[in-house]
Amino acid sequence: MINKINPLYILLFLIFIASIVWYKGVELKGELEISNRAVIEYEKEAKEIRDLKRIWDDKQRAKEALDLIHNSANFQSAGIKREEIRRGVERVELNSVNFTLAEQFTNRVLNAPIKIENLVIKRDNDNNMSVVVEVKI
Amino acid sequence: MSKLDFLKQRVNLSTLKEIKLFNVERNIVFVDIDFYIGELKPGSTLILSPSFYWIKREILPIKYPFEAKKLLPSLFDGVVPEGEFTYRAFKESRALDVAHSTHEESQSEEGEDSNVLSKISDLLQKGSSKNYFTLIAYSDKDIVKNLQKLSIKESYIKDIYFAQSEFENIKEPLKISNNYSLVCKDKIVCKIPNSFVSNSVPIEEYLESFKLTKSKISVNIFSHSIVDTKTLKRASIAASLFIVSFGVSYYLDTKTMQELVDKRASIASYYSLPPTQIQLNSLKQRLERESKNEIDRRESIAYILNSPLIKNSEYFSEFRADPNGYFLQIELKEAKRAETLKEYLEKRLEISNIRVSGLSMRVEVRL
Repeated sequence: MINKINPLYILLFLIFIASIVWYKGVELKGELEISNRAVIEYEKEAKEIRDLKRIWDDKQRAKEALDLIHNSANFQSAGIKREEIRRGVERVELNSVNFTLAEQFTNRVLNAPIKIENLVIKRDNDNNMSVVVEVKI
Repeated sequence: MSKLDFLKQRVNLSTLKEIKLFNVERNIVFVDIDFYIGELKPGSTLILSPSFYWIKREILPIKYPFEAKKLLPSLFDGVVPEGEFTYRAFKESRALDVAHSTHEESQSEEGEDSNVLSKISDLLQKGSSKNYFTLIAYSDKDIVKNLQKLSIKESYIKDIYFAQSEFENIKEPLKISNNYSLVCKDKIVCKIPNSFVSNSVPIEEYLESFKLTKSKISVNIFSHSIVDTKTLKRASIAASLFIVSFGVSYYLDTKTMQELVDKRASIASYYSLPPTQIQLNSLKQRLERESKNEIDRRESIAYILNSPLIKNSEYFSEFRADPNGYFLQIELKEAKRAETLKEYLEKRLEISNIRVSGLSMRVEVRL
């Protein structure tokens, strides 16, 4: 049998294939790096969204926060009122309370992860104030 | 008919069939340095005469021919001239001898079945006693050069054999020309002048009923190439290893890529995210906007409620915050204080309306 293919051609062919494999490998490595960064970024973004949702878009959490305010012993003894005025909106009232309690209530509301729609603070007289807050649930 | 007769008949039939097939399919050409015998056409099988190679017969302490590969150049050292040679080792096969002699005997001495059988078993027992090897050295370059000289084109050649492997069992001399014949002496096929032999058979006749062995050889026509074969082999191995390693790396990277895709899907599932990036961006923007609004609103409310009022003299009588803005009513100690408070509020808020009636100041802020 005579070897009719020049081995040099085989070598050149192998080198050609090796170049293609190398090029594709490098290309894939680049894509891999980009994808890896994208996935890390995506996870970071996902966590941000989860946190934002938890704070501002979590109805359960908003209800719990409102429950905490409403069930507070101080406010309960001061006659706090809570009612659903329309679908998805609740009103919490604290009428004719002393300034300290009104300030406590206002601070609790402003620091809670709830969407405040309306807030009304009224001075009833020299000793008492009323605070009404409407919250989106 | 006895069982042995039947077997013998079968052997004869199969041999005939093989010869017939061989005659139809193969065109065998015997080639010497200066001439060739047979009709040359595409797909021809060449049998090269002993003039094309150097031969030795040795007992080697090895079992298989490939083990002799490293020994061969040194065994031919001083025998072959300077140059590049290819070496081959053939283990002498006793089994082949048996087959050959059996065939011949069955043709000439029919009926001596028991004799044949005992000879077969005897030879099979002896078969592995000593490892005789036939060693051959040849120059690819010279073979190609001589074939070209005889105008034998590469495209005409299907297989190449050496006379040694094909004629090592001949019993009578084969006449290859008016001057020379091939003989097999001590298992070595030699080309000798006709004057030393008698009763020679013309090689054309022998080739008619002849069966090729499996000992074909390969001839490298590119041995004269600019890069030597060893370097080519090494470079090819290196390139192949390179391909394999990069191939493996590529495969692993593809797997990692798939894992990343899966990871992204699992993140989306775990955090309950929308499937597309556009939806994700839109959701993120909405949440960020809402978050910013809520925080801004709280900061504004805190800013308003922390207005620099004079303790025990000034106070908020009313404060309202709704989605459109803020309204506040402050009771002042004196009217000119309105200006101070206005300046304070304007630092952060855009006041749309401000009214001071007596000591009461009403401010409206639109968002």
